[in-house]
Amino acid sequence: MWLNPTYASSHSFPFTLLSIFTFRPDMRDIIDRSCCQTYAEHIGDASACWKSVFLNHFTMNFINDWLELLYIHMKIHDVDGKAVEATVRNQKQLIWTKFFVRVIGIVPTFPLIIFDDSIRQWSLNFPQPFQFIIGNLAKIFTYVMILLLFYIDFVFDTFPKFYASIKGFLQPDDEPVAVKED
Amino acid sequence: MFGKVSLLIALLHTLMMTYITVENPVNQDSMITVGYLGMVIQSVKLLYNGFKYASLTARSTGDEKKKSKKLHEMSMFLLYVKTIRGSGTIRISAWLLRLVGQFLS
Repeated sequence: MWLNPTYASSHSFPFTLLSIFTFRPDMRDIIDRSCCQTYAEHIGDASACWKSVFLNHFTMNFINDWLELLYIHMKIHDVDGKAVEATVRNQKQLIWTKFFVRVIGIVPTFPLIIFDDSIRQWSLNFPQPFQFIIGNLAKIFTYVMILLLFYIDFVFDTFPKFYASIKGFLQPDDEPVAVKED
Repeated sequence: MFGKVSLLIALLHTLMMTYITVENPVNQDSMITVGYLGMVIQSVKLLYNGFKYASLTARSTGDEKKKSKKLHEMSMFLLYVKTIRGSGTIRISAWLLRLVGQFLS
């Protein structure tokens, strides 16, 4: 069963969803970038590799966010006065919120990418336009994630209420963000 | 002097990023290209912020000067982190994904 590469698409979607955390033989091909890189180097066309390229971008973003948080946390302990500390704390809040929005966003996107083929098969049971929407769920969620990864500053700038509403839930530490100046 | 030289390097790097994104040599999917363009925009924004806060640091005094200097430092560090994306992080993430892939295969 596990050696059959068409295992996932031979079952209906709910059963596939139940096996979300089980071992799948083609999992490695799906998330390993190297096969796609080799493919792109030899043929010069990576248009079919968007899943693995996206996962790479997400992982790199994850590492970058961690570096930024580490740096900004160090900067808070510089002795530059309370006004400067408040500025750094605001920046830390912003970076922390971006980080959490991305982490929350990947939770539905990751399984949708992995089970994209199965979801496409399953969507054929539905009439149009649901067929199109359900069949392209992975692509739709990935587009949204691309916006969250690379355009989050513009999302927060354009919708300041969105940022204001979520930042209250995601306090980076116990101390208040706004520090009164002497 | 350091700032001027690094500004030139960052500008050239950003121009090269833009060129590669537009040229799209390995024909990436359009959504990946959109992502790359986002990276270019982020870099340009951080570079602009760094430049703005550097000139504010030169012009202001007291707490305002300290604040501008700190914002300049932070913008430049964030830009640095953005620009090392393609060099070392790709190897770390490829290694991480390979580990996960081996575990799941």
